[in-house]
Amino acid sequence: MKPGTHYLDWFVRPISGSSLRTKLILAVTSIILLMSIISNVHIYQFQTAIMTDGLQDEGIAITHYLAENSVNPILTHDKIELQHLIENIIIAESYASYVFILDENGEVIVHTFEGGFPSGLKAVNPAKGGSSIKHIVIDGESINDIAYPIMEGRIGEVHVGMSESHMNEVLSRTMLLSTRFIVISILIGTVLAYGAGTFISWPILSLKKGALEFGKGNLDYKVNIQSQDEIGDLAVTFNTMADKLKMLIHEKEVASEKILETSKYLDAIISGSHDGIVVLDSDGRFEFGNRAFFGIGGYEENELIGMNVIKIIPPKLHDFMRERWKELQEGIGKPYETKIISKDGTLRDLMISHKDIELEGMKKYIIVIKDVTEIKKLDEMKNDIISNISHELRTPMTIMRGFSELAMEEDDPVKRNEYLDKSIHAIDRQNQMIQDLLEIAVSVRSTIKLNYEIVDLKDVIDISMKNVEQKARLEDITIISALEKNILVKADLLQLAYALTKLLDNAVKFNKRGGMVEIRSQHTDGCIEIFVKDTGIGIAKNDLEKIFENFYQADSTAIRDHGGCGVGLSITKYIIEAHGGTVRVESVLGTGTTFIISLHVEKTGAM
Amino acid sequence: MDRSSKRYTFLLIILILGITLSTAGCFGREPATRIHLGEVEPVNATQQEIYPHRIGVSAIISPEDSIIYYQELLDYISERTGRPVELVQRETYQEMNDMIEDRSIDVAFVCTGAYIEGNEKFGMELLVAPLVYGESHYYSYIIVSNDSTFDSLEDLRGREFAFTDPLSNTGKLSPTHMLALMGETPESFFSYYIYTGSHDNSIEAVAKNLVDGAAVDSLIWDYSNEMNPKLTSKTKIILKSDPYGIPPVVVHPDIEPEFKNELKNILLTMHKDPKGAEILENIRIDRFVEIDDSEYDSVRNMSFETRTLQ
Repeated sequence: MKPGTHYLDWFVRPISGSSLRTKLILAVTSIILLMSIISNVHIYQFQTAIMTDGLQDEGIAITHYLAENSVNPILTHDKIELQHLIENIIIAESYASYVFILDENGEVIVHTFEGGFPSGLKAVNPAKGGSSIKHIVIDGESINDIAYPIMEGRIGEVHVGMSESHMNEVLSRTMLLSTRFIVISILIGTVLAYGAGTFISWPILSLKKGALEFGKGNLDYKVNIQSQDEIGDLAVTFNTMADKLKMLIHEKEVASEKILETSKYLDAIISGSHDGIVVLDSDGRFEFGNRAFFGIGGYEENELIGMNVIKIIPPKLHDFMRERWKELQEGIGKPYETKIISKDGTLRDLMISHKDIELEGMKKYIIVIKDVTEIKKLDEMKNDIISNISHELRTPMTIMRGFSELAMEEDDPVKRNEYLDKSIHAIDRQNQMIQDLLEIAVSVRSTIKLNYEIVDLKDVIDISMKNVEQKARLEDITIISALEKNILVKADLLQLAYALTKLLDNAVKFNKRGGMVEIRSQHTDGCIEIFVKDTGIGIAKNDLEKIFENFYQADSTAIRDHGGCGVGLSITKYIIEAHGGTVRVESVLGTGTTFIISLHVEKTGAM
Repeated sequence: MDRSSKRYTFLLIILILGITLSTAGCFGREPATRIHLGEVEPVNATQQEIYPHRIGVSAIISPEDSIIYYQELLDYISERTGRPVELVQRETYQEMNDMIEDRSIDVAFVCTGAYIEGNEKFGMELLVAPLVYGESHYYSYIIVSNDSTFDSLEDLRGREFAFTDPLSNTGKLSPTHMLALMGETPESFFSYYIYTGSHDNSIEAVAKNLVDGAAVDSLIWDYSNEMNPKLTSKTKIILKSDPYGIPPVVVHPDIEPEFKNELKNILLTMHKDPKGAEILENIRIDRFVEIDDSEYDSVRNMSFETRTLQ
């Protein structure tokens, strides 16, 4: 036995897995066997005691009779009489195995042993004062030697050997009957226990089957037990329980479906919302954010969840936000605008509205975020455009009015023509501006249609340089070109020339007086890069990305100084990209700016 | 081990203990002594080194009563002679006479009738005789059951009668003589008769109504009536005979004179010895006296007369 295990385990374990019926059969047969053994042992003992007593009593009676009747024959030395006496006893008493008489000196007077008197028997059971009984075995036969003194021992003693053979035979027969009885009892007990076990275990097995069916989910299954006892009650309770369970499960399923649908619905709303939705805990940490929210900041979900919201608020707004947070906690918060730092470091303008809720006893805050960065930018742009256009349109008009009035008052036709020429120039300028606006309108509404042809890049650049020659001259700006020859590209000549004109125009426009514009090309591996470098005011780093956007000017005052409505670079970028090329910018503020156009080269060398 | 396990263990132990105790009795018998029939004892294994005095007692009274009656006396003789004494009894007077004749026994207490027979046959010799109640005579009593209506011997005609022994004086010769005087024999007078072997048996036979009447020794009836009247009280004496010479102590005529004299001396003087006197007192004998053979002539005459009459 392993340490720690109870020895009953050894006894119980083999049957612990047996069925109830088997256990009942084992219990009943064990009890019958045990009770039978105990009762048989007692019966055997009792019977043995009674029979032994009877045998001994009979032996005592024989010895008394013999002692009484052997006195005279002994005293008159009548051995024949004595011999007859003891032989008659052997004949009459079937249990008497032997009889012998000793004289007062212990010597044998007469005996019934045919082969001589066994010497061991003489002194084995002396009669002391009365009857004496001694259990002896003579050649395997169990015998009670009963001795009785004759005349109180004065003239001898008589001995009768009462054999237990017959008694043992009777006892053996009894034991055989008892054994048969035990076997029959066990057989009957087993059959009855089998019946009883079946009767008792059938309802339990039915219940078990019912439980298994319920376990499989078959709640329509009914346990069919008609008995009126506890098991019957249990079955009824079982079926009722199953019905209730079924009802509860059905209700729960319906509720779950509703919840699921609601959940999906809410999920769809939240996920589909263009506005960011986040949930903050009572300490201001992110607990949840929808897709739109993470899209606004460019963050991943795992970067923000658990993080305090203040960490993505620009420091200058921290105090403002703390006040809003306080209001939010007090339940008086109103929608407000703020900014966050997006993952790429840029600031995003947000419109915040919120609501506090209580979930599982905890205060939560639902924040709805609208990204208004673009709207704000457009707003600013709109203001800039209106300001720029009104200024730009008014300036030529003012010039035209001025020169027109001078022309009306000037009598000298040369001068008058000069004034009118300047007035026309102003009209052209205005025309150009209107053209730009129209271009933008067209580029926004639809794709520009390009008429491709193989053109020499030099031709394109020459046209462009020609367009800005006069303006450069006026500003005393030198344009230097260092171009490779015979670079052929597939392009719309006029559009590409327009794009390059815009770059050169800007290079002139934002240059210093007496400055320089350099245009050069670099042919590398199927691509041609065209560098347009000025020695102008340069562009702040923050503005470098935005300069290609419509109506953007890094410094809004510049447009008033230099003219233009801020759409040139946007159109340039659009045209270059339509040609399958790219445009990028490098700039050092106060030193100058370089625009680099990269185009696919169709062919090089002489045509 | 949890509590239920403990309870099961306890029950199991109780059960095993109970079965063990209840079955223990089956094996509690003391071991038997083993004996083999083949180991037999040699024949005549016992031998006595010293030859004892063999003293015979006629079946005047039954052997069982005789041993009770004579044991102390015999032990006294043994003590006085310094030799063991063996009591020899036989069922009939004749057997005893035969043993005296062939000297199987040294000395014997015999009935008067047996003495007459032995004296005639081989010269059986008188040694001493007891003196009882001051006299050396005794009688034959005809007794019947106490509750019977028999008052005389005549009343017993056609009845069942018990004699003691064919050689008995009081138990056979005397009543036969009475019948002879009446011109009857036992066969003609009684429906049938039996020999009981001893006087106490005859008293018992009457007391228990096994027979209608019996002839018994007066010494025996008187002694029984005094010592243990259980049986005699159920009998009554309807006839007392003439006196006869008392049953003597006899020897073979050829016995050694030294032993004869020694024995005679012991018996004649024992009443002077306190222990001997006490023994005699117990058996209601005053003392032993020498007796002359003529004391028995009346019996001889009666025997002769009876034979003549029949």
